[in-house]
Amino acid sequence: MGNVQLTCPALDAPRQIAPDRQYSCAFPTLMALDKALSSSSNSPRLRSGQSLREAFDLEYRRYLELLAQAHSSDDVWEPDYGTYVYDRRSGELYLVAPESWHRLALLTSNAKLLTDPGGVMSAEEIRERLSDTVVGFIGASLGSNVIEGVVREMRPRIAKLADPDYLEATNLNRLQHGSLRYLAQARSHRTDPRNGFETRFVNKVELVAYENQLIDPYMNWYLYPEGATPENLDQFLLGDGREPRLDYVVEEADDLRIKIEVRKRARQHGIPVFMASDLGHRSQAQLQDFNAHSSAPLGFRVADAELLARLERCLSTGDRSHLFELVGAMLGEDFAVDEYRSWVDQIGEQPTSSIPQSGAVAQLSGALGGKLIALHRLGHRIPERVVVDTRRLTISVDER
Amino acid sequence: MSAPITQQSRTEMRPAFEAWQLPMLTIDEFRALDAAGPLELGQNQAEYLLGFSLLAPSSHNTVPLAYRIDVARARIELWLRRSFVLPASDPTGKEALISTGCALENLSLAAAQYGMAGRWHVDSQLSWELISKAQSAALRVGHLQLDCASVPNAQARRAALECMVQRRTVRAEFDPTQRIPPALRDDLERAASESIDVRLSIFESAADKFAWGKLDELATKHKLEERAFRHELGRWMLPNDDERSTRGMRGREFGLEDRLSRDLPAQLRDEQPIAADQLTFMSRAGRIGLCSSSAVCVLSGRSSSVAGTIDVGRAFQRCWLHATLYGFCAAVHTAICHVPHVRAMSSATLMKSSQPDVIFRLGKPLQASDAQRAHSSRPRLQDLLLDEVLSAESSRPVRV
Repeated sequence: MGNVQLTCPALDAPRQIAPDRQYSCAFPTLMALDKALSSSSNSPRLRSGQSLREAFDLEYRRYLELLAQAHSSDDVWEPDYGTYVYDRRSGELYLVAPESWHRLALLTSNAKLLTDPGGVMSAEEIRERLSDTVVGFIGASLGSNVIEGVVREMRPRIAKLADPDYLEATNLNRLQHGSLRYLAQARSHRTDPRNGFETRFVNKVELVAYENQLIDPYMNWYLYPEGATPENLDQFLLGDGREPRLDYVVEEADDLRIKIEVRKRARQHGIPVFMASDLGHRSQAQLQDFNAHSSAPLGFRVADAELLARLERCLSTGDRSHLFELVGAMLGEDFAVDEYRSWVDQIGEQPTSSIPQSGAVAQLSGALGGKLIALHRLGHRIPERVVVDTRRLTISVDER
Repeated sequence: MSAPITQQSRTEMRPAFEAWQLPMLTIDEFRALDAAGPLELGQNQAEYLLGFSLLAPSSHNTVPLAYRIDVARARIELWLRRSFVLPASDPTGKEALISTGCALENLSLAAAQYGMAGRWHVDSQLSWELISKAQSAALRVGHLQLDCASVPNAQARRAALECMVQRRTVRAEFDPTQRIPPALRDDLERAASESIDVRLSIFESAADKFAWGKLDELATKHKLEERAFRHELGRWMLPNDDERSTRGMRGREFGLEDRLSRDLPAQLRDEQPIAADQLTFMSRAGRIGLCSSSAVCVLSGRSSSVAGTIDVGRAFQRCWLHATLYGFCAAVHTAICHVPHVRAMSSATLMKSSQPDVIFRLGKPLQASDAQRAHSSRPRLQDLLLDEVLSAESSRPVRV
């Protein structure tokens, strides 16, 4: 009783979905908008001439009428309104509000905090400007925090994500949306379900995109589970007819050679590169605006030749100190202070064998990313480097 | 366990790298080595052929074999010296037997170039238990019986012999844009299938190479955290300026600078402080290497017997020589094979239930100079001939 039969060309056979797998999200979404949207005289004005509140009221009335009709009918349970979203992973069916209203709900609380420098853009124009921005993310660990910052602040329609790695338990202090659910694929994916050694991991790009689509199923993700490589990097940056060109690339890769290659190609194509770094208690954000400065260096205030020489030294000599020389060329020679400096210099007890990463600073890095990219997209001038020190409670800014 | 030989041997020692200066003899020059007819094997000829056997790779460059030349019966015996079977890195002796297979293959291939077909007979007494527990200093593994065969043309002979001299381990980052030519792929598969119980799997996709890289990183880190393994590795790593040790691996073979080539072995032996992340960096280097390769190749023996393991070694050496012919370099990644849980994981996922016995990567170095890295050292052949061989009778040429 109450089962839904779902037929869809993408499914090999119809699915029977029981009520405990059915979620009606449209009504709650519209109710939330009803509470949030203002009917005051300064309700944002749309191109149609209506205020946003007026447009919503029309839509809401129409929906409530449909809901009442459905309720009075013997054989209709729910108005056929919005979009059905079927989650093949969980077997759950969601009925989601139409795209414009659903996505508006995801942004409404941000109000009009983000404006253009001159204050001339309407709320609708700002929303369109941000939602039409295409951001490509390379690296999904710390990068997932920047994704979170960007989607919460800008709510883009399209994003690209590249990372060859899978989730590990030690990522869970900083990877947004990571959970037990993704430490391994379900046992049913094993060739031999009884073989405990057959651990099938979950790629980070898949889990991050999946979880984000559970928030905004209208968002399109272009995934590169093979990671960014010299071969696919141009497609990632420029698109190929099926994929759009990037407006920004967020580079959070582990692969040192790819980090530099991304900057080389982005500079060649005039695409700004954002990178957030969690450096102990400090979060550092850097925006290299290769669109505005086509001859800007690849590193931070270091000649390209020196950066490239440090890269080769780092990758060929095996000397630990050469890694930090390269890091200095990318982040600035002052990248390490306090406990992080102690790590670099190996002073005192060091419980782990990998570079320390604070979960809280990772979140802060994501927040900086979302805010700075959004502001830059709206025309604000963004410094070359911003460092927020959560231990000393200081912020420093390096102008270009 | 013996440490690398660092002292002058009782006879005048040739430089540790002289083994690689092997002349390419014509068939007439070869026959002239001994006062022997065209179908006879002389002592000098046997030693010349063993010069090629000596060039084969071995685990930790231990060169664990000794030889006994039996000219009267036209056979060459291969003996395993137990002091060069590493207790921490190779507790079962499997690596040593794979190394034996490599040396045997070179010997057999060299003999074939001068009109001698080799038939391998593994010693019927040899068992895993004997290898791991026998008290004797050396164990006879088996013998290669030489018989008359056709003589290849001069060009083919020179190519085959040069290949053995040019082959080297290159533990450097490879150029990921290089692909394995289809003809090489065919040759590799053919080379492996000459050993009927050996299967070759070739992994070329970015996802597969990354998966192998992650497993290798996991296994290498696990091994490096084992004190006994780490200390043993530290004993077999040599500083770059050691020009006399005839066994062991110099830091430059890993791309290490002189200072690190001195410090790292001491750090691994816990004689100097080691940074908490040094072992992680070493493990990560293996992953970078695998991901950068043109292909990750894995050999699996259907039989886990002693004879089957030697066959795996022979197949491995044939594959490596074919790759060398095509201008490809190789590096071996053994850690996965020695960490049971990681080996089981690889078997259950990438290997579809087969067990990996040898894992190596093929590629062309990103930096051309890396292709010319110095060879590893070798003992003098005279120091590897068992004394009892040197009977008056055995120096007399006989018909084969």
